Amino acid sequence: MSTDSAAGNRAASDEGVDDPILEIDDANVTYNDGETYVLNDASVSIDRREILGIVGESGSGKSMFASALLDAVPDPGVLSGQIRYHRNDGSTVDVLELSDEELRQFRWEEVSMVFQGAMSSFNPTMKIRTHFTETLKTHDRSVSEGIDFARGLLENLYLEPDRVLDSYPHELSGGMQQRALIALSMVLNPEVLVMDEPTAALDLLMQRSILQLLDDLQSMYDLTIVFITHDLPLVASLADRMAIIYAFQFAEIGPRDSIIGDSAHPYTRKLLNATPNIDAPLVEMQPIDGEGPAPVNVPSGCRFHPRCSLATEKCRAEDPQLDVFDEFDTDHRAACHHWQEAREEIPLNAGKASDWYDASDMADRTTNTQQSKTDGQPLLSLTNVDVHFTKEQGLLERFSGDPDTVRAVDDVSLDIQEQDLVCLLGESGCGKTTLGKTMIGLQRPTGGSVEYRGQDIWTADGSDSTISHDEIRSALQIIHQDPGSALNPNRRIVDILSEPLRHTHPNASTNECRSRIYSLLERVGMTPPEDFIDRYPHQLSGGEQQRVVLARALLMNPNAILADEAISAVDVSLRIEIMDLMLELQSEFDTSFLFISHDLSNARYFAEHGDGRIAVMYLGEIVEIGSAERLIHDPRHPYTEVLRWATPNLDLDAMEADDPPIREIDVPDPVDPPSGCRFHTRCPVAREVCRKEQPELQEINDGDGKAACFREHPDHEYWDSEPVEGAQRRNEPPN
Amino acid sequence: MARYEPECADETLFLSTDTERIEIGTIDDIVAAIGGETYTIEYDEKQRTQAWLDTDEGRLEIDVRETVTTLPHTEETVSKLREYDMETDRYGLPTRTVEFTNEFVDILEQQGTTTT
Repeated sequence: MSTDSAAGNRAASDEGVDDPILEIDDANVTYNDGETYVLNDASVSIDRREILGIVGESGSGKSMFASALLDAVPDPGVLSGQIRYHRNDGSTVDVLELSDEELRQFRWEEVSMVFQGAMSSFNPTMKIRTHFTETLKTHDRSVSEGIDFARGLLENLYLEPDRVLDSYPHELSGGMQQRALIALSMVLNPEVLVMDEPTAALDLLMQRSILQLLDDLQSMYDLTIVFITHDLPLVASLADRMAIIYAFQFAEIGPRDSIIGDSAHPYTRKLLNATPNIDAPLVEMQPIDGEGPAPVNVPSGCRFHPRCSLATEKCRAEDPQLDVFDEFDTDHRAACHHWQEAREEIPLNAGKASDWYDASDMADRTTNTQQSKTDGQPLLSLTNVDVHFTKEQGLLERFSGDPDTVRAVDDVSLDIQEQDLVCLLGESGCGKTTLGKTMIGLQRPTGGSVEYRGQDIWTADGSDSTISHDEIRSALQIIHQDPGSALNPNRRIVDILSEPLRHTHPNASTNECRSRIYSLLERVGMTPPEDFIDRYPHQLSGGEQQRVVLARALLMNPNAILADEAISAVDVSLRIEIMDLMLELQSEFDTSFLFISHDLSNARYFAEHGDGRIAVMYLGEIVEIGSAERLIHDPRHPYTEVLRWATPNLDLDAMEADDPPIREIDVPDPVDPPSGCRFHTRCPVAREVCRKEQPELQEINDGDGKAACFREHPDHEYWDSEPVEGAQRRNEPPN
Repeated sequence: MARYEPECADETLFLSTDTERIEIGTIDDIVAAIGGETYTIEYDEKQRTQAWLDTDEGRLEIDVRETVTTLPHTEETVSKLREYDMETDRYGLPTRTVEFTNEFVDILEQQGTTTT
């Protein structure tokens, strides 16, 4: 099929593919009567039984590529080009020529898909079992044989088949729903599985665990997997080959090791350097200036040229072919006029060793830093803080004992100093957001106290209070994860930013307010401010919205800002820039930062640059706290080790992940947490004593910070106790 | 985690386990608070390609009365509902009834792209 693309055919076939199962030639998706391209000249072959990782930032066209593979482009998009599917028996299907009925059979039976938003495609009134039986019946398969197969799939995905099949979707956690969807997508035994951001809504540990499971399923069922994501390090641990997509075109395709270790496109190299990871030296992580173009505003020539430091007149005029550029590297293609210069002038920081870690040096450094910070009164002081939600008792329970309690935060003590920085790290449901909100007075604790500069924030405005409640409220601010929903869509940026000024500067004139807003917008990188001031939030990019939210918080002159997953929604290439901005503003505005994250790489970047600490939370408790480098290089709590394992990195030598250092993938029910050490049900080194006795958070030897684990105490009865079922006996007591 | 099954007595909905029974409200009140006898979930083009979905051009009509009286709920949901009283009047309905309808609508809204 011909194409109207202005650029012409910019791609050669894949030299490195021996036995293609899918061949995509010159695929284009257009809107507006062919005027707007959201996929442009995509040509790639997918090898049978390979895992191809496709990486692109939001709005780059990667989901459109996934839709194109199944001829499922949303209306009124028009897909052209050629997509050929080669069956095992040697026959070939021209996907774009299939009738509706042929297409219905082709999808899910031969090529199946777990797409972004699939967790919203359940029927909420049907049990998971019915989802399987309906799928089997629709494709004329035997239900009993299919359900048996489904049981095996669910078991391979570490789920209890009976429990899952008998559940409605809302009765399963996000991780369980996602695994049920993977099993559903495989129940017809397809040859190819296309996965579009299948783990984006999940915690890092669950993401990593699912990737491990996919790796196993791929070899067990001889699958070909196309894994599409914005998260480069995540897919790097799984993929055989990788393709990088930028502004609706493939920029580079090649073997995983070549892409990570020897990429040729400046965008790939800059993206690798912009990705926070736990091994690379912090100083060498650099953001990419600017943002990717919208479909209606694609630059001429090479689409990356406005953001590329190597761009020349040729790049501005001529769209480079995606082609083999090196006769000795024929399975690697890149679309760049200056690939040699890119390799020379943009050195990769991935794989370089990070700063040398010395425990005693780190302990001294951290002690000195913390000592200087602790000289004065803490800004915020939490003492034995509990946030418990008490359940009302049923009639029978009233006669049978104590009321049940959901312990969202349990006995947490923590001081935050002036200009301090603390990252709360943990999985969903661990209590980090509840603790963060309790710190800044948005959640009332049920036990213990929270003091702001010595004043209990819940008794402020009492007869003996030294600081007013209003003063405390404006001193403690929050930035939410999703900047879009935090900004009123019906108000212009100037109105949104004027609101806090009315509180902090009630007598300021309109001109003074505007002047303050202009200078702050400039300070957060929105220049010139007059270009932004009259816009509505939907007219800003995600990164710009987050800058406005940050500016709004700063206009309150806060002493502490709680940033709740504040960079999770920002594209990878911009994360370091936003984190750098927050860190600069922290020192400029003398503010403390409480940074909530599920991602150790981001927490490390923040904590190391801001001279702060990371507090690891598990089921309502802080289980370890210390400097980022100590936690990464010398984790003392087994749960910190798990988070370290779950954090993908870009070091090729360390990329082949070991089995997870954990016995159970799923987090226990927070309504009924385990007795003793709450981590004992998942801990790989738990012993009988861990079931009964709860370890306290105590200073560790030979390092900075604290940990709550019996293994830190050489004389504890732990060392004479028997390992629990499935746990290992590891190491001797520390000296 | 305990599963709370719906149970109807005298036109009133209860959620029950072997050891506990919690009153939710009259079925008529619940159906009215949800917005009527039917609730429509709309799935986008990709979602409607799922083989298990039998929709009318992407629209799935849910019989609210039937679903309210058949769909079980988690202990987490019930623990939230316990926080609310059957006596307190809110929008002319007991607060727990209103909170239940919010939880119920949340379950439906998690699916599809738009709901009506």
